Amino acid sequence: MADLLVPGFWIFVLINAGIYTIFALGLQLQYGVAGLMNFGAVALMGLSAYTMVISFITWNVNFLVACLLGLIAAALGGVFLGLMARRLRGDYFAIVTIAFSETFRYVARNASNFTGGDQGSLAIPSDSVTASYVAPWNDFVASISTQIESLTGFTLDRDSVMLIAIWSVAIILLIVIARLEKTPWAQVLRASREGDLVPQSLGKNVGLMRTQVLVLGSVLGGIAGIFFALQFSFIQPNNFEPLATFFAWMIILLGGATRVVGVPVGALIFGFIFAGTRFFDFPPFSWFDSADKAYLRLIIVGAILIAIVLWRPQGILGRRKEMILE
Amino acid sequence: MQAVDISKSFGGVQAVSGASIDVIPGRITALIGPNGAGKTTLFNILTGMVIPEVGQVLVEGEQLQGKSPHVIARAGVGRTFQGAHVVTRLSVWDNVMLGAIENPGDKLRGFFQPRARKHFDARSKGRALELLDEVGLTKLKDEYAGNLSGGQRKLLDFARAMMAKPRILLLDEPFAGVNPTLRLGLTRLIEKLQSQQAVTFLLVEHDLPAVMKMSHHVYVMAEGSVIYSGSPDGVLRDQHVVDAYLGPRSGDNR
Amino acid sequence: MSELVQLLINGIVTGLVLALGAAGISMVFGVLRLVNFAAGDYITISAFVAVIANINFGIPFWLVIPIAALAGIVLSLILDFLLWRPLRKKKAGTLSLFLAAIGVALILRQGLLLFTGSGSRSFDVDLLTAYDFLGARVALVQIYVVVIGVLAIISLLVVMLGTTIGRRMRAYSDNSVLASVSGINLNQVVIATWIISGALMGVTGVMQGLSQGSFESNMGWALLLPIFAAVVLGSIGNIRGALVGGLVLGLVMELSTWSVFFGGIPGTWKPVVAFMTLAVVLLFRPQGLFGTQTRSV
Repeated sequence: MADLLVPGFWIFVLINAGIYTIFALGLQLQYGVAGLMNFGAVALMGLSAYTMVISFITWNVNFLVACLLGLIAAALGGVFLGLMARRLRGDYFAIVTIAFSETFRYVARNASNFTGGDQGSLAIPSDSVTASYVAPWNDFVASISTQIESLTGFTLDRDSVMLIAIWSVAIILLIVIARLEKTPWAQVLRASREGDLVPQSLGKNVGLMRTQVLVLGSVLGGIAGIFFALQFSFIQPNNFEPLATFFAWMIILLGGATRVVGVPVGALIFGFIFAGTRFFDFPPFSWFDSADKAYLRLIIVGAILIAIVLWRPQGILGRRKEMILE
Repeated sequence: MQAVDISKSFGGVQAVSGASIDVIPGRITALIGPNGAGKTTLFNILTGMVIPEVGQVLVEGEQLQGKSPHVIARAGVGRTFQGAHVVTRLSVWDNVMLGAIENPGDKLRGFFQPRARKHFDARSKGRALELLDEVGLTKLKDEYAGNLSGGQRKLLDFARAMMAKPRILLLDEPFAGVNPTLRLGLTRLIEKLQSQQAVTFLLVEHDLPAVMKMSHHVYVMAEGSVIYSGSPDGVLRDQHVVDAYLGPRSGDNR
Repeated sequence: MSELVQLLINGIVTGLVLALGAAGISMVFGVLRLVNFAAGDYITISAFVAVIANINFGIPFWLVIPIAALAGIVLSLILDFLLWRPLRKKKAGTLSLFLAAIGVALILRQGLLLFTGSGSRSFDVDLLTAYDFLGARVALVQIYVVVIGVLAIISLLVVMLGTTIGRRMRAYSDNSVLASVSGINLNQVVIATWIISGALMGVTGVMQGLSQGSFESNMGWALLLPIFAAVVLGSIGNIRGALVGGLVLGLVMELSTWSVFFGGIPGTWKPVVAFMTLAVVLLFRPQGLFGTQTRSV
């Protein structure tokens, strides 16, 4: 258990929690407000990440512009999902979003000339031997570090800077989205969960608003995708498998699907459980070696998901009355 | 509002054929007829849920047939629902406020217009309170709409539709399944709104007595066509109407 | 021409696997309103039980088919008792059930990995023998799959159309309120549904295991999405639709590799073809091929 005290590890956990916070926030907006069952959200993360990486490496686009392109790609993905949402009932929409997500992953795996295929971003065709996209970010981190060091005497490593960056953005987004969820626009979306007839009879263009929600949620996923790409310096298709979307769902359920503040709570709890199980030395964890512990971790995730659905669908911070799981 | 020569068929069955209706502004018009007469289809066409094959729907000269329901609503056509659909997860107050049609906060860009939103909210709040008072639901304004009784839901439906300041209000079988007390209350409410605020009403209804007493003009439909248009008194004396409701040759002693 | 025949044969094989899987899933949705995301793992586990019986216990191949079906049935019934029943009591909605199914899928798959390890398995059958047919090569295992598949479909249709319980299941699926009011015993219908769909999952597992040659713990999951595509294509809850949807998708997937189509789409893209087909159909018929136009959100 001594390993638990290594700060670097927990910074890493917090970074992941930050990425998931932004990602899950997008999902919270889509489901908690608009009731959309998007189970393919991770594809937007991947679309954004791959677009950014490919723009930078293959087309030599300026780094910031590449990031912007990534977000635009995610937004376009959201537009597509909006078109689907207009025509499909809830459960069909859920299934189609998963199909969409896996289609993205298949394309990433097979279009190796663009995406590097299974080998990931390292194999993207570029001028250098192995393709890399993090140089601008690393430079930025280095300059921030030196400045902070000269101002305060503290040395911040790459992870620490990333931690501050991610959570700064996350907190800003949380505040903005929380405000957005208090507007009449959000209220109309909540009303639309019970059917389109009423809001439409009151002059609300529900189809457009759903598309707006999906685009916003997708852009949030896109932001998370870019941070993900920067943190790990390398992306590959299996980073964006449905399991990530399921984790995000669990996070919003844990925290309470209707409340923005539930998202970071859920993400932190999830992050700590997920990481913490690495260190538990007591039975039943001690019965398994570390390879098997990976399986056990996911079994625990599955069990928690079921437990939430069975016993506390409103999550930790939700109110019973607003018990929303349909 | 006028419906001009509307026709619509579904899968080979002619639901409405050549129906024309002219709703008099500031008056209560009723649309009645036996089951299967096509009233519901015509109503759905007027509210934008169904697209007619032939014909036009005009509101003050503006053509609305085939447009989306929300566009029609924005053109000033309000409606209530037969089942009194309320948004159960929102409070009564929130339900009524939902009705405010020109709310800048409704649009996403309204997020960036906090002053406009505040301004609008202040004006709407007053109106919402008045309407709740009008229908007698003020005490329940913070209650979840899902907890209301059927009758209270009808009143909420009404208040919410009125919130939008519609040029014409279409009522979808407002008296369906309603007890006499409530029926009286609703009738008084409709009459009051019409006389005091010159609201135009079009009622689609089955319940003949209630409708006869309050309407200024009645249309009767049967088998997809309008078979009578005139004052309420004349309705029961019209042979076509009697035939439609009771079957042909009724009243003959053979 | 021989390429076309080959692809048609492959398409029928794939189609049969998808059809049976889709029928099981559609059936469960029709009666229980559950989109069983864990069904892929029901398939995998049944196949693993069968292959272990076959390889480790030496039980001849034809006997393990009913064993797989039995495994599917037992797994389905146990999970119904442990999870779906309590959720039904709480009147859990579509989303709750969907999320719970995801949880179950995680537990089942990781549990399987924990106990049997990763690593591929094969049935003890002749994987190499093939026959010439109209210029194409039909593998012996493909013939097995077709035989099993056709028998399974016939049995399914007999049960669903010819027996009382089948009629009750269909009645319940079409209109649950009316059905329960007319005295149909829900419990009986539920158990029958799990038994039939469990058996279908088991048989699907064997068929896919045969057709692939060797398979791993993610076999069912990889199948699940094309199966769901078939279910939605055929309109969820409609068993005949599921069968048709499965066959159609199987054929489309295999035929997409036909060289006539600009050299043919590479085989690894087959699942994408399945999804694209689904997307295109839904664009024109959002209720699926056989559904009624209900515009619910």
